[in-house]
Amino acid sequence: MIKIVADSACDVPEDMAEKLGITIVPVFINVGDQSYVDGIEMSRKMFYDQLSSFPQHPSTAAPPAGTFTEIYNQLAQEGATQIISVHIADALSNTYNAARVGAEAADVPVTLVDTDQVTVAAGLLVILAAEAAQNGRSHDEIVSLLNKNIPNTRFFGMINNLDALRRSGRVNWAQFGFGTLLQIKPIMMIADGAIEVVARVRTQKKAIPHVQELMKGLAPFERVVIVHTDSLPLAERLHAKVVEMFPGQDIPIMEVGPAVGTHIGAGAVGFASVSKR
Amino acid sequence: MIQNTIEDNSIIPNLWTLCDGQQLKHLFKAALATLEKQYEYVNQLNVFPIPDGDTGTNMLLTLRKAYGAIQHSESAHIGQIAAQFARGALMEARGNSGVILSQIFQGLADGLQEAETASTQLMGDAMMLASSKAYKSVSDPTEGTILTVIRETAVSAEAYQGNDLRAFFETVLQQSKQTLAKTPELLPILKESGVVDSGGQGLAYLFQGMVDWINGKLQPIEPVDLPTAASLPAQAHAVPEGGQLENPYDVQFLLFGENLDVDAMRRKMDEIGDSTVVVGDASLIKVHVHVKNPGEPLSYAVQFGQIDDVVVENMQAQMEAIVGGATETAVDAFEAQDDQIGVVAVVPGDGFATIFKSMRASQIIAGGQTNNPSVEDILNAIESVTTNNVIVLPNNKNILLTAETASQMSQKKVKVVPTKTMPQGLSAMVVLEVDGELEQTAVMMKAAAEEIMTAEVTRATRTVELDGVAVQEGDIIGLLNGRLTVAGDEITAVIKQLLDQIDMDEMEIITLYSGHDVTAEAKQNLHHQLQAFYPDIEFELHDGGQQHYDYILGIE
Repeated sequence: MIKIVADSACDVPEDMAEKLGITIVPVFINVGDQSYVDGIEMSRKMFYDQLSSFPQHPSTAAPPAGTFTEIYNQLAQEGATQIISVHIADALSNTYNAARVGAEAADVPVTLVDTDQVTVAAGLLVILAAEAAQNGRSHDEIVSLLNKNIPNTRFFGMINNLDALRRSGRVNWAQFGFGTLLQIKPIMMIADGAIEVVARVRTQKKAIPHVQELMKGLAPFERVVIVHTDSLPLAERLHAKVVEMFPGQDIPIMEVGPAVGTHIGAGAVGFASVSKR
Repeated sequence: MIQNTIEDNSIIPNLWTLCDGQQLKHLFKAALATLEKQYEYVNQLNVFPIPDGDTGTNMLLTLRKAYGAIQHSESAHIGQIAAQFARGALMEARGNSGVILSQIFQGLADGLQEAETASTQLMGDAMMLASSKAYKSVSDPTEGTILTVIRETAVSAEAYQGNDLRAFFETVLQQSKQTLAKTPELLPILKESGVVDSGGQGLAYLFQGMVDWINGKLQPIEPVDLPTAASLPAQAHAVPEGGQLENPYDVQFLLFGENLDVDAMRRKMDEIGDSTVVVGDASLIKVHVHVKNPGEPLSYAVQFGQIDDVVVENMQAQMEAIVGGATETAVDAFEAQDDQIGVVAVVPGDGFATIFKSMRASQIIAGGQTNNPSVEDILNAIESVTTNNVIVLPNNKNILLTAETASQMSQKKVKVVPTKTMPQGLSAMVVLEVDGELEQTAVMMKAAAEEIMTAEVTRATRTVELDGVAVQEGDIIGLLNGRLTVAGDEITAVIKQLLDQIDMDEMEIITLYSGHDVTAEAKQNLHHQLQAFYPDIEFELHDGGQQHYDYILGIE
């Protein structure tokens, strides 16, 4: 039996994880000297409700390698003969590396997959893998399905406020031209494990046509999802425009969880997609 | 015998049928003298009761420089004198009226190019060229302006049948006055304000001066001191903040000679200094260069002819004075590399200069409503950009033509993004991609500029009724996207009335740029009052540092 494992930073919605039998390993959200288990001790709602009132800006930490070993072994005891462990970009997080170390000590063969992505974009790949597993695809078929789709996967988000990104220290401020006295809202792209700025706008309203253009360029889609951080009304506005553009396409709205929300802050909106190629 | 005084018209023969270079020089000198006397009157013809580009001042500054270029020339060749005069005008052209005027002179020079002397016939043909050149210099010619005056005057001049130049100039003057009187019928805004067109008036004064001199009636007058953009302390000279300048001396001069090699001069100046601007032709070259040793460019150039109008400035000393008195947080201008785009921005205040630099502007020119920069100021800034791809943001509707003219004179790849207000300029900067392709980036910046609304608050400079708004001198007046729409006596109320003309439900951010004379307290008070009116709007506050305008608002 093949089991799919992912980390909580992939932001696979709970009901889908349950339906598709995906095992989620939670990352940690650290606030000051407190550490919370993502999705268990700290729900999305709690996180965004408190984000502006946290005494210190939260940070994220990968699960310990030992946790991965325990979970892999647990799954083996439950009958897993092969595990495919799918994770957010190695280039942007320590989670993949913790899983790799954990896998070496496991009693079951584990194939690690670096999605080169974060949050829902990584989640879409996890879901593709889990659906293939449910449909009886072989280990090799699932791994090659992932490897084929990883380069076609994108995450785009308009960052509403640069404070969180500044404090996360994940981007080169000068290179991205963020040192402006006038506040800007960048539209950022994650592709192949790298962060890029594709556009700069001043208002949320202006971000929407940009996002539509970007989507046009990437269609047709295997999967596409509107994403946001604690900003459902704006996501719904974008969604209303986008469903008109792609009739017949299933386009859910998903919220980015605390692991990535810590870095991009509330008020972000965008999309994650896997293009058909 | 009195020589070289403006009232001396003895160089005109009794029967005057051919005009030579020296006679033309005196005609120009007389035109300048008359404008010196009348430019303030021309300024007052500004139909808008706002402090903005003064037509009379701009025309006068343009003409002074033009005359400066021929002042010492003894040439009797009318084509040479006209060409040198036109070139001088072009470099100094400021404001839309200055640029149009410089094009009139350029057309005239084109018409007289080959001629030693000009008959009434040739003069008439040259004036037709002057008129068409003037029309071509604006993308959207408006009738009832200086354009109509030069066109109808040129038509009369060309139709003139006799060979008497005295009568010819009299015809020209009379026609220019007649057309000028018609301008309020052609342009309703003039009629509403009860004035004739200011640029047209300026042009008619030039013809008046010429005819007065011909008739021996011209009085000599003393030139007045005028502020210019170049005299402001914030003038950009590509200076690093702090530290020593590599080439501390700014050297400018004119070189007169024969068979001068402009390209060779430019190569030599590039070799010994930087920020080089070398323009001209075989008989006159204008040089601007920053060097270590100010003697070097001069001793090189003097081998080829006569040097005149030498200006040497110590920028190191100037810079230390500016840095010493600076209150703004220092932000380095962006130094473009390789194929990157460098942006030249015209700004009316220190605060705006800092904001533009923080957004990767490479060169800042101090200038705005009442002190429009010249073509040369903008050309110098373009040449000071460290790469070949340049975008110019005029940020003022009265600087658009100057920027266009400067961009055409540069050898670099230059695009002017026609921003008419400061918020438009900054909206354009938001989407600047310094690594982008020039044309495409300019198109994107133009689109971004068009997406923002601008509100401006200033004081009325005179009493007028315009577009149904009754304005008393000294009133607080509000402009929305350049149009006067509100007058009142309280700033918050005026701003509120401006904003009420916009669908604020569609807006997210108001950026408030406060003027030079606004206190921090006044700005905070205004912010709190406006925030109470518009609770869903995000406010961003900056010091613009502009003169005359209490507040400039960007609404998006």
